[in-house]
Amino acid sequence: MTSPLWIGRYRSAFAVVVSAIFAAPLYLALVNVFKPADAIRAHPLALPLHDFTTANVAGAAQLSLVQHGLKTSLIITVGSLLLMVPLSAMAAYYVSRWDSKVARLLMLFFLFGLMLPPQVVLIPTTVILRHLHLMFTYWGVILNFAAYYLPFGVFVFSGFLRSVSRELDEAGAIDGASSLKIFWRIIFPLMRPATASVIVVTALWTWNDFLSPLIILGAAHGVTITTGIYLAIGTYSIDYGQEFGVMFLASLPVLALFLFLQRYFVSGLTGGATKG
Amino acid sequence: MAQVEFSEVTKEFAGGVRAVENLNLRIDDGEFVVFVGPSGCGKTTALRMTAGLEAISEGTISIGDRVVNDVPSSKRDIAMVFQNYALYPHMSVFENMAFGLQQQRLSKREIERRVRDIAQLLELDQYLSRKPRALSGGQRQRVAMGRAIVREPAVFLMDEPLSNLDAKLRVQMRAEIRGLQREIGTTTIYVTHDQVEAMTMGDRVAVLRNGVLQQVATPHVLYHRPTNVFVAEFIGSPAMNLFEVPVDHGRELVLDSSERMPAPAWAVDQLSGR
Repeated sequence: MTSPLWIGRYRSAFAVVVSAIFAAPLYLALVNVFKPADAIRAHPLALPLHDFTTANVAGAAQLSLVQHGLKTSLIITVGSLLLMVPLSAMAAYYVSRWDSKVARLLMLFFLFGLMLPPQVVLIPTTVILRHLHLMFTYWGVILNFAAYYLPFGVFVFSGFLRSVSRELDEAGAIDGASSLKIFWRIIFPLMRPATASVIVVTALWTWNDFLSPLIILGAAHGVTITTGIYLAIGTYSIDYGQEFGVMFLASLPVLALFLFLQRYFVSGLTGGATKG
Repeated sequence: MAQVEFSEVTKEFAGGVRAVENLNLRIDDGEFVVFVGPSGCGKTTALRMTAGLEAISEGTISIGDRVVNDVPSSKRDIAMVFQNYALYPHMSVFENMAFGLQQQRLSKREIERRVRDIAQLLELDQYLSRKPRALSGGQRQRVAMGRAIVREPAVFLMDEPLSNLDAKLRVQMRAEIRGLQREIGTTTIYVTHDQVEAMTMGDRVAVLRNGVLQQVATPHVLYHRPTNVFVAEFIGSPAMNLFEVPVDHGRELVLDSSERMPAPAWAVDQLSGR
């Protein structure tokens, strides 16, 4: 299969255009973070060469809405992860290692959970949380996220488990370890790439989610960084400088997490696809 | 220290495949018995039932004086060497060997002492802090052995432990494993498909075919007095020549019109006994 030269040229031009479309909003977000508000209005596309400023970020960091929002988002994201990662890893271990009807049904159940859009289950979730007196609490939001993303965790972990030799379980059992110990001491440490992917993706989703915290936490009871941005836009006219500062601060933590875990990330998502 | 006894042991997998059929065998305390046979003969299944990794469909297996059918692997007081070694990849050689001892809740000092002793015995002392991936195949094999020996179990179970080594190392390790086992005196069941390995290592060799035990005997007896054609063909390298001859008066083999040969005494007994 050889294609004429001109198709090859168009192909790379096409790639450049597509990349540019994807990069444009990122570029706009990044350059305008470091420009004063009037410069953003006048020259939104310009690089912050002679009017470089960190005042936007500093200003945004001063806002109590932002401070409060970052703190709440951090609590909710970390709480959800602490609950969801160990539970989904253990569930995946059971579902993929024990060959029983119950295990197969559970797997189907989890896969079904993976297909549900969050908006569909949001209202029923609030009903349950209200009965448990967990509406408008951190715990309510955390439980909502942990439960909703559990199937995703099970899916990634059980895929990865296929590449972890069963002989290791057997060796552990013969060495006298209980199933729980085999899991925590032998299997879980070996799933680090999968754990990293689950953490990054789930952290990103919970951090960026807008609807669940808005409804479950309720704007009057607490804001996450996403609902905070929403409120900031409404409350303080349009200060573009501050807006960009807030957005910058909002995306920084997840970006840092991704950079920190990225070397495990790709191998975790594809792990189990082929036999290592 | 313990004897192992298989008593009418049968393994039937889901779907009706019978991997082991009515196995009766007593392995004495300190004995080294090799299970040998072509692949799919049930030797590994028999070993895994002993280890508690497969359920026993019928019959009983006892280790020492205890029937272990319902005892989980972790409580059977056995150690196993796997074909692919199954070393814990994220643990150092020391941690690999110490893991089983930690489960027995031995003191840190006792664990340290026993691991170091065995590491010295196996010439692994300078590798204790390495991860398995930084070891050669032969060294990994030694670690797998060390992990089994350090536990001082009642029985060693070895599942083709040498089949991933190169030919030269395999011969060397053969002698080494046998020497170690004599020194320690632990009852051992060793599974292999390699009849040379079986004949050079076993106190006794059990030949299996399609899940049925064909013969169990010392290598010498197995070689000179195979009970059936399958064993005769399977044992010996190059393979034994087989042909049919008429027997005259129950005591003379008729090779051709002019040449005859007296049948060996044991064959005469067998023929007249029929």
